[in-house]
Order: sequence, then structure tokens, then C-alpha cells
Amino acid sequence: MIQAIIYKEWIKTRSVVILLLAIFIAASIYSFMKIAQDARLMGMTAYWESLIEKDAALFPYFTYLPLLAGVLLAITQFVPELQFKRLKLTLHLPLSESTIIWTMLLYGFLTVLALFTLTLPVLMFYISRILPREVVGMSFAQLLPCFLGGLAAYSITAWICLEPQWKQRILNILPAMVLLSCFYISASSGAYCPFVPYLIALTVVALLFSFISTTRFKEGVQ
Amino acid sequence: MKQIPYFLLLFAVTIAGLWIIPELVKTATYSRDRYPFVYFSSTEKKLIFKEFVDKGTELHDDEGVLLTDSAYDHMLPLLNYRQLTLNGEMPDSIDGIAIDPRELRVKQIVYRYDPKDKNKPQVGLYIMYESLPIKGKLESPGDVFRLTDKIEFIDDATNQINRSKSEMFQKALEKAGYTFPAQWTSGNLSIRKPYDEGYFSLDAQGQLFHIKMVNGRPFVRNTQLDPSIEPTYFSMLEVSDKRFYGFLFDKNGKMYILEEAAGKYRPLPLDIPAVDLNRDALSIIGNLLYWTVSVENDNGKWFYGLKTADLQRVRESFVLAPVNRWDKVANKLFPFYLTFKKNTTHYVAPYLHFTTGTAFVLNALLALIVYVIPRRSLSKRIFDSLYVLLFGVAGVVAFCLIPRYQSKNNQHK
Repeated sequence: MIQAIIYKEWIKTRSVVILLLAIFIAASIYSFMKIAQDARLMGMTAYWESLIEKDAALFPYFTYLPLLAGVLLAITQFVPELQFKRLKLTLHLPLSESTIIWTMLLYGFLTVLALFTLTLPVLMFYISRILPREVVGMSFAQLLPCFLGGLAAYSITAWICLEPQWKQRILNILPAMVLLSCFYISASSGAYCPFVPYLIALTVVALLFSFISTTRFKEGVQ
Repeated sequence: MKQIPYFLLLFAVTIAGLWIIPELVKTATYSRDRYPFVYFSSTEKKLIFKEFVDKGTELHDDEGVLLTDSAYDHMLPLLNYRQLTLNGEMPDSIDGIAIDPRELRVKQIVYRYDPKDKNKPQVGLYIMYESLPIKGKLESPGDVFRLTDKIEFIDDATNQINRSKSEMFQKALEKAGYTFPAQWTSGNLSIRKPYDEGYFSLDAQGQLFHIKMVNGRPFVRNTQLDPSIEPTYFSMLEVSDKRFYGFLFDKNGKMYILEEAAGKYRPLPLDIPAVDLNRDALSIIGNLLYWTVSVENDNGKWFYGLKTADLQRVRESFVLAPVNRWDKVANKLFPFYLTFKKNTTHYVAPYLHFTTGTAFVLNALLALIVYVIPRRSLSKRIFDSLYVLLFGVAGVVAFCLIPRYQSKNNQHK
């Protein structure tokens, strides 16, 4: 049954997953081209100096792309469930309700995570060929909160989408924006390091928020 | 068990509120603390204040005597020497020392330290410039180096270790008695500096070494500081007269300039109280005769006039921190609040700030209102009001925003 739910989720989201994969590949290729061009135009010495001295961002396009991926996947996955109350049918499958919701949530969460874990090493591998490990580490530290933000965006969007009441859905958007903005406080590379454990905790905890929405849905809140 | 997500959400939204609500109030009420501009008068031997009042300025000395613009210019000839020279009013000498415009220029120093300079992530890569460039101006060497458990130069064209150069510097460091791993290394990476003096690095034994490249060869020398000085921070400053290398701070907050005489390094202490590098911002404006040093923290700003020659204190003054509108509002609204950034560090982390505690009055009032709201069980009313008593406005906002937990037995209706 769990495989069936996963298959159902795949059918719903496959076009968006492929689209996101294409966007991430395109953004990666463009970033590599831009890095190569900057290094060529500035000269490698000046380029290294600008990275070390000015803390220039190597992958600015990946600041909000993970957020977009998380939001888009959650919308694709859960908006259809709320249309015509299809979630009611899903919850009547011969499995416990929490198992059904966990399966759906983990499908989406792990899909986003897979997308990120495919992208991040590719980005790091490319720059490790032309830049010293300290700059690679700096760049990783700069991207990590953005990618965690993408995962949290998925969970928080799922929570909003599964909320059965429109008024409450709008109210949920306010704390959702504040919670997500924690991942995008402007800071120099590495400055987020002491904050990363808190961001990971928030990312994990945010997965549980959807259970509040489904409980309300089940209890017939309109 | 079904209540766990609800309480986690309540807590997460409250924490977000403890951050964002004060942040919005601060944006609406905060204004920058405006301290006067202070400069030491080489003629009057007093600290002279330029206060910024409304749209104008008020000039006075450290005894409160008001000054005219003209008196201000004449009391600070080393600050206003261009104006005084144009008017033909520049004195030929002060305290028997002849005033030479060229000498005035090279003896001028400006230095600023902010705790954020120290409390920030370090990349761990440095650029070793040639300290005696053939063409006279600094040029990029084409490599960077790391100094951790050994010294390694990385060629920027190939991203490979330059083995010969690394070995040459490694041997020079070992020969000079440098013990790896390095604790810290400090220098100015920028090519936009008048000259290069390389880096100062603290080795594993707490010995401070001067490392630079001269004619393509390593120059490494132990500064042989007195063991009573335990360096914690060094800030390089390329001053025009090359009198010193930079500012050295020891474990106790004592501040020195690091001079060199006859091949020996000499730390000369500034006659000011100990500085807390994690809290105090420093500013130094120096001239031929005197330095004006200011040390600012949350309590206020201290001003010192020091003699340039021996850095002994001549005069001092203190200005209490102005009470900001934000502080007044925060004291009334929030017993404590959260920020993720602080003005003394670049690191993002949760920082809890406590105010005077009078805002608990507001919290108590809000808790009372929450308690009397009907349609809830007694246990729920007690929980809600205690929660609001602790978290105040953020707690109320969290209750307003997130849906009530509902169960079939109406436990949390």
C-alpha cells in the first residue's frame, strides 16, 4: 500500500520534479559558465583575491532556487488533495492516517532532499577543481542555509496547503514567512555556522506541522 | 501524542514572534546613538567637543566652555591646518616643535576597530606580497597561502600546491623556531595599501612571529615579546611614517603599538584602560603631537588624549550612552527579546536580550485578559495565561495566529 501511495505521489508530481531537475541543471551549468567567465575576465589571481577579500557569492542563483523547489513541490503534491476533498479518500485507505500522511510528506521531503544532495556535491566538485578547499568550504557554508530553507519551505507549504480553512491558511502564511526568513538573514559566508543546528531542528520540526492541518481536516473544520 | 505538533508549532511561532515583533518595533523607533566628534587640542591640552544638535553643531571643551567656530579652528591647528594655512594663521611651532606640513601628513593616523572585525568567519587564506617590490608598487604574487599545521602556497592558475615555495617558507619558519599549528595569522590582504609588512602569526607556543617575503625569500622573525604579554589579537596598520606595524592586544585587554628599533620589536602600551575586544569599538585619530582615542560600548564612550611620543594619557572624558527611543520602548514592551544578529559579531545565532523587566507588567496584564476569555477549560486558561505571562506579546500573537488544537473530547477547544 505504501508503494501505491508513493506511486500516486510520483504520478502527481513527476512533471514538476522533472522541471525542477531541469532548472537545477540549467542553473548549475549557467553558474559554472559565469564562474569560468569571471575568472577569465578578471584573471585567476584577481578572481581568487575577490573571493577571499570580498566574500563574493559563487552561486547567487541558488539562494532562492531551493525555496522555489520546496514550495512548488508541496503545492503540486497537496493542492490537488484539498480540491474536491480528495484527501478524505486518501485517508480512507487501509493504512493508519499517520502512516499515509508520513508517506506523502516523506515522499516530497526526500524528493527535495534528493534534488539538493544531487546538486550540492556537483557544485562543490566543480569549484574544488579551480579553487582551494577553504573557498569551497566557504561556499558550502553559504549555500547550506539556502538548501535547508528549501526543505523547510516544502514542509511549511505542505502545512499551509493541507489546512482546510481559507482564513486559517492566510493566517498560517504570516508565521510561515517569518520562519522561512530565518534561513535568509543576510550574512557573510560561514557566519551561519552557529545557527545551522537550529535551522536543521526547525526543518525537521516543520514536517510535523502538517499533522495539525490534517487533524483539523479530519474533524471537519471548514 | 497528537498534541505534540501543536505545541511545537506554538513554540516555533512564539520564538519567531520574539524575534520579528521587537525587530519591527526597533525598525520604527531606533535611531543611531550620536556621540560628539572629539579631538585633542594640542594648544589648550583639552579635549574639544563638536556636538551635533538638531541641524547645527555646538562646540565646547571638556570643561563645558562654549567655543566659537574661529576659536575651535585655532584650538585644533593640527586638525584644521589647511584652513589656518590658507588664512595665514597656522602657528610655526607648537610646544617648541616646528610644524612642517609634510611631517604633519606622514604623522597622521586613523584607525578603527569594531568587535565585528574579530568576531567573523576567517577564510584561512592569505596573500604574501613582495615587501620590497622592484617597481615600487605591490603586485599580486599569483598564489595564496594557508598557515595551519604547515605553510602551503597554492598556485592560483593550477590550484596546486607550489611545493618549492611552500618548502622554502616551511624551512624558514622552522628555523626561526615557529611551532605548528598556528593559532592565528593577521595582516592586510588588500593590495591597496602603501607598503607591505606581511603578517604577524601566533604559533602553538604563544610566540608572535613576523612573516613576510623580501626579494622572493622568506623573512621570519620571532618578536620575542615579554612573556607577560599574551597576544590575543593583532591588527596591522600601514602608517605613513612606518613608526609601528600595528596594534597588539593582549589577553588582559591591554593595547600596544608594535614598534621596531634596532631589529628588536618593542610593544609600547597605550595609556588607556583594558579594552574588551568582544564589546568595545575603538577609534584613534593621531597627529604629530597627540592621539585622540575613543572607546565605545553600550555604556557610553570614553575619550582619551595621548602624547604621540610615549602614548601617555594627558586628558580623558566620558560621555554617557544616549538613551535611545528603542530602549525606552523595549523596556515597556518586552522583558526579553531575541535577535539573530548582534552589533558586535558577524555570526548569526539566537541572542537573547533582557531589558529592565518592567515589561512583565504588560505581560501580567495580557495574561489576565487571556485568563478571563471564556469558552475554555480551566486547565487551558491557566496554561494560556502562564504562557502569555512568560512570552508576552509574542505569546498572544502566537495564540491568535495558529489554530486551536481540537480533539474529539474537546480537550483544547
